[in-house]
Amino acid sequence: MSIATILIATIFVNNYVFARFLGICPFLGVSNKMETATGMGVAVTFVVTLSSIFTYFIQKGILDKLGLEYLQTIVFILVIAALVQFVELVIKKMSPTLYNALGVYLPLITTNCVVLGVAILNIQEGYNLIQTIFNAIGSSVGFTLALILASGVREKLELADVPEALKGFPIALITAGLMSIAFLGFNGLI
Amino acid sequence: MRETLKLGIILFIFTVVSAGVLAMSNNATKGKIAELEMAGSLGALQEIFGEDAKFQPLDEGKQNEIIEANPSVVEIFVALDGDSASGYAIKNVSKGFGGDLVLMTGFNLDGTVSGMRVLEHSETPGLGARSEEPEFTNRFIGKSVSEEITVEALSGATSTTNGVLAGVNAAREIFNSQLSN
Amino acid sequence: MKLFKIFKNGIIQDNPIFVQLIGMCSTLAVTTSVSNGLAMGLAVVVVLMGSNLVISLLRNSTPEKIRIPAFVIVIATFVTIVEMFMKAYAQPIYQSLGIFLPLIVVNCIIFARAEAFAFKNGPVASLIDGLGMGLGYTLALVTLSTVREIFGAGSFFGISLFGESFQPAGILVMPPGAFIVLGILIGIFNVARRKKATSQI
Repeated sequence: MSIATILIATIFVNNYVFARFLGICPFLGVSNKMETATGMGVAVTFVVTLSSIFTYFIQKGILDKLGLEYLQTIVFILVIAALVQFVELVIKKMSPTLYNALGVYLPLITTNCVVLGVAILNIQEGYNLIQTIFNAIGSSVGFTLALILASGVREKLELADVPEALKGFPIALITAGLMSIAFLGFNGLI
Repeated sequence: MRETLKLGIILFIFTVVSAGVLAMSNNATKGKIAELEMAGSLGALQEIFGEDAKFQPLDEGKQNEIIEANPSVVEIFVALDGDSASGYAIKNVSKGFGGDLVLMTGFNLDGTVSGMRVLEHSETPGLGARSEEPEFTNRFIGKSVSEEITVEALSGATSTTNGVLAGVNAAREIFNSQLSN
Repeated sequence: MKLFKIFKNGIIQDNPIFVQLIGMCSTLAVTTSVSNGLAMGLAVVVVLMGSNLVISLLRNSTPEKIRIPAFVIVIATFVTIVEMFMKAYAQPIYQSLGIFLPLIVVNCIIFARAEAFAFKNGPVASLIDGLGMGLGYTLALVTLSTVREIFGAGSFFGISLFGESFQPAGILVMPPGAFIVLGILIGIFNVARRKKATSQI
């Protein structure tokens, strides 16, 4: 699969939030303000890309060679957990404001399905290293795009007259549903 | 420093115990899993060629040669009528919408498709998952191998249909180039 | 009885999907049919009960500083075991759950219960909490998938309900349908909760 195809597929056609349902918890939690949405998106992109590279090498170099494929889930998640700790330290040093804004959502990147999902999908789709890297970048850009788009809408919704029962998460989910319909339109692209 | 060491050792013990438990589960289940795969293949072969047909795997040397050149091929079977070959079946892997598709395509010696079965898939129920149903798989029967095989798509499941077609045509090419003599 | 209260809590008051709003990814993805939703729910029940039990038993021997990696190891082990046994004894379900089976590892519900309950309570209580939360999750999944399957595919548990001429609202078994139905269900649950709260005053 060519790089361009991978990028278009992951950002638009099979967008990780609107089509694949990965990363919903942070999507709902962080997408209400555009600033935090962008910050989270960037952090996730970094973690996903790095972890995809690490897990690729571990799968090819260790798990496959030793016939230990059944340890994939547990090894991958441990690598991701370690990476997130590392990213947390880096962000804390480089931008304390972002660190405070992201709050509890930063360690939660560990449980962000996108990170583990992309790592597993890289192996399942049989990508080589370059395709893996671009799949990682594309998926996280798609995730960030979803977050930013949703935060734009949600910031406006804060000021609208939403029925009491639907306020908060229900309306956010319905919003996501409508955006998902829009993204379905990309289906014939590749 | 001592504390870090102690923490590290405790984590290490956790990991070792976990790895041990997983190795045991793996041993307990892998026999059954292999059995299921074999039964799945056999079932599909009998559906495609008829209950009385007999099969054997293609000669190992030839099979390995084909698999090396076409890594998506899993296994090739020869359908037997008495002692001579009456057809071939190719089991290969293709990309679906929700994951890998494992297909078994049967070819008659006269150059037509005898049948196709979807052995494994992760497609959406009600949409791509309907590729398992006879309504879809029957569309492949009788197709000629002399040109690219196309069938009417499953409504709402174009990606799944395309994945199946890619797999079937890959099998067709292997049949044409390697087996139809 | 205290244990019963813990059990009921997971199903209603603190239902992970409708109230706590965690564990969403798998909820949206696997609820395209009731059998999938049920299978995923039960897989999570098994993992939840197992990990809650083990973490609770080990809570005094696990230093607080490394509890997160310890949780991860325990949870991932149970998920892998469930994966293996499903592949061997329930192949069709294993395949339709696809990537969401290993993703149970990052299902926030399991982590949240480990941290909030199992690490601080005894084994029996933790086991019951796992059961209650898991069943609450399963209930939510089955509800969501019932709506999606009946109106989106015209069937229930794979059995066709309405015959040839029924045109199902296909959008419901596709991604947008998941978001919208879940949003509406949570809205309904909110209304029910509010009514209950005001009627108790």
